[in-house]
Amino acid sequence: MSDKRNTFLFGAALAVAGAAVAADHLARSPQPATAPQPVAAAPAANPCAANPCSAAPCSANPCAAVPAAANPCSVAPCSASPCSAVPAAAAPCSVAPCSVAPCSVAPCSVAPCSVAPCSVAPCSVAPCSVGG
Amino acid sequence: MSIPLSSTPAATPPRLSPDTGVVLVVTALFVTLPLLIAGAVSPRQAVLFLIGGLMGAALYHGAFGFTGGWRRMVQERRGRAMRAQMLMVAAATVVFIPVLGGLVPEVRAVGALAPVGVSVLVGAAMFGLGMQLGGGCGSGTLFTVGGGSARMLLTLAFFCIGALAGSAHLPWWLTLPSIGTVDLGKTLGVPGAILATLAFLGAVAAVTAVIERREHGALERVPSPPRRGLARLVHGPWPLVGVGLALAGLNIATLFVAGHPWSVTYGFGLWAAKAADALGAGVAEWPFWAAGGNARALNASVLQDVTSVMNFGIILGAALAAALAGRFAPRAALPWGSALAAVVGGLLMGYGARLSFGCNIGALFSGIASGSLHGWLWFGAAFCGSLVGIRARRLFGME
Repeated sequence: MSDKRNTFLFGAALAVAGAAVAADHLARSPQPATAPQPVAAAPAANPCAANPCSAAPCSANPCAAVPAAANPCSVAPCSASPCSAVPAAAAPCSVAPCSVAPCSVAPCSVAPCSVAPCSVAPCSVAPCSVGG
Repeated sequence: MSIPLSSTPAATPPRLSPDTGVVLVVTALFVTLPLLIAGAVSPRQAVLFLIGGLMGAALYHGAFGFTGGWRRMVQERRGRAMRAQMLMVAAATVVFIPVLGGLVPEVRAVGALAPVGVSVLVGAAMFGLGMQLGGGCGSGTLFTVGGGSARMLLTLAFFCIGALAGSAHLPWWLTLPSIGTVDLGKTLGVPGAILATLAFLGAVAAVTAVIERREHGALERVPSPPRRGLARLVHGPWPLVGVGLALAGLNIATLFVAGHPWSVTYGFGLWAAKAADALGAGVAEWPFWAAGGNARALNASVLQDVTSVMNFGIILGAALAAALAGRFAPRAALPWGSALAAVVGGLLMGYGARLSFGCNIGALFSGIASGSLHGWLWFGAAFCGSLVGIRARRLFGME
């Protein structure tokens, strides 16, 4: 049989959890850009003009060689590996995200799961030639 | 699991008195939240939330958990629950391995693969010990929290803290010996991997049957349900084997929709990391959370994390099932010893899950079904840890 005090406790916990989720969502959701830059306009010759290891790594587009491929920092990063020709071959969201080489299939040779992700050179002239 | 695994019904159907208020509130949430999630994130994420809801209802109505099932095998020599678990993994295996092996090109998905090493061995043993103290594994903690167990709320809180601590130390653990990822689908080929996995799962089931027959003379009879048809579907209990197959189907659905198998504990670590980061702990600078997908998850809305959204669904699905069964938030005493065990168990499970790349769901269920050898290592180590945990329960005044 249910206990009213426990039910109240769980109602309160649900309310607190709901508020925390809402606050997190509002705080962490990307704001709509005022003047969005067309992705296709990214300079393909220098795809990594921005630094993917910076505090705002998502401002870089390591896939600019294929600018329309996807944004690795999109709202649904786990939907696929945006940089590869076989998107789902990477497992950025697997239970062991760091055990696989998310970029082994291809272009984005950054090692996002390494302890020192910036030790590879995703922004080299040939970014895709670095082993992921 | 802290609630009886056998879900043994009484001879006379118990009088049902669903918790109407809770049913209404949770039903309203199941109507509105998918719409909100679809709008805020994506329809796919809303579908995953609903899959989680079905998982929660199935877990609760079947009282389907690893903790109680393993303990029952050890203490009572009854293996019905373990055999249902093996059947569940087997059912997922026959779909996972071919899909992950690329035999279904339309489906792009990745498996729960992880390295076979010391971190898995130690982490899984810690997890096994912890789950006997905490009273539930990853999914067990979620569905019992959803059912309104105050004790499991304590376990969940410390599970999250333990997972955060594990994420702080994981880089060091990964420097210890490991043979790397072993994908049976690639090593043995798809047919070979399926046959080998099914053979091992069958062997485990057979061993439980032999032990049970030796102890009791016969396998346990499945008790007849207190109600049938629609009433049973709505109010439970559901048959253990049916729930195992349903969970296999839902894990397959997760693989197809999310692109990766069902996992639970990554979300716990993420929740704690977000909370710690909000408190100024600088979690974003930790190697684990500073890199790749983990950094993106930390910096993105929690609603964008597949595991978290499914966990929310599981909790609410279990809450609805518990309310329909008239058992939501039961009155229960929480002695100090039991509360302390919940704290210690939660910490051990959280830490162990991070080291071993998941829990009974992410590592054992999804790992083995994906053809990853680490799933088998996890199973063996966690069962050994569980043996210690069953003995350690007495230290906390638990049976």
